[in-house]
Amino acid sequence: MTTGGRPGQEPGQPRESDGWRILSYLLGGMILYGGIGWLVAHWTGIAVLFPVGMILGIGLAVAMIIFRFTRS
Amino acid sequence: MGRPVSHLHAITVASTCTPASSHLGSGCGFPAPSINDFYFTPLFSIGRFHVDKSILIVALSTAIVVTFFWFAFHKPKLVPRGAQNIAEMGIFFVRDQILRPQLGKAGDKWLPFLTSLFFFIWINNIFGILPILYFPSMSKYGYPLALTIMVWLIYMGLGMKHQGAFGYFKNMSVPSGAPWWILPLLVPIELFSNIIVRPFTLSVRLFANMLAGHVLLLVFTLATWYLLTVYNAAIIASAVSFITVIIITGLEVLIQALQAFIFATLTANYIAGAYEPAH
Repeated sequence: MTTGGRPGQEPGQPRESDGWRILSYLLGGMILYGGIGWLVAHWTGIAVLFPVGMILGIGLAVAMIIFRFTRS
Repeated sequence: MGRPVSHLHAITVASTCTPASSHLGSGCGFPAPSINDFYFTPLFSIGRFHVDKSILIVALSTAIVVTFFWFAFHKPKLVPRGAQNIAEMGIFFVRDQILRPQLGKAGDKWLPFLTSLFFFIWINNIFGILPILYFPSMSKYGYPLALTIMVWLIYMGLGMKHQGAFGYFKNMSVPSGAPWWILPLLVPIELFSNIIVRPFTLSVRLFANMLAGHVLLLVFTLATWYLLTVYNAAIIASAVSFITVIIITGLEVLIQALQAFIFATLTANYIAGAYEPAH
């Protein structure tokens, strides 16, 4: 809420909540794209789309974590 | 020569198996705790609303927190003594360890909310190891869920107020640092993670820790009793189980405080995120 980072906090220093955010990205990616994959697999009958969606979701979540925490 | 009858088959399961009646002779077997141990017969009912043990514990802990802080501050003194001293220590702990690291000095207006949240959850959890009541009401998902919905409404409302409805959703959906061409794939994850997964994990973390702790205590408490009544040689196993109960109870004391702390810390973190977009 204060501008320019919080007191006692160097910019770019990892915060304790970062760990929870990473966990929520991994879960979110897996559930969302796994869910989409499951739905499409359900409609089309191509069962392999469910695991493909899950893996794609985890891959995207990992990419997001890299973008967010390494290039700032 | 007749067919050998398995010893297991010979034991007929008694229809009235209670944990207290479970020993070798009764044929009940080890009374493993189940989800049924989390449902209680209502103490009394008001119309169709049934009041059971978990509601009693929640009401009791609310009363304890309110009464304690009222008692501590109804006649505040400049030099705090007794209850006021303890209450101030508690409030300073919440301010310096939970609020300030997340929200900074300007966030001090959230101190009453975070203090109530922390102490309410903590006192609730302590009932999990208090004899007679011996139940953490947060191990029933409805209670953490209600707290989480409250926190969710607060930080969503606050975010829309401070960043504008459009700006807030833009900040919640566009991940930082990602190149533009991958954004269409990442925006759903960011939005899903911010709006659903983060509040969901907030409630599940508290709920699952309390549930698991209570089940663990039940397993070893029941094992202590069961092994004591099975046969004489099992008395050593019973003693080991009893020691385990004591160790786990100690661990639970730690976890109960830690979960209340984490819940309040993450609430403060979400509120901070509503004030300024995360970078």
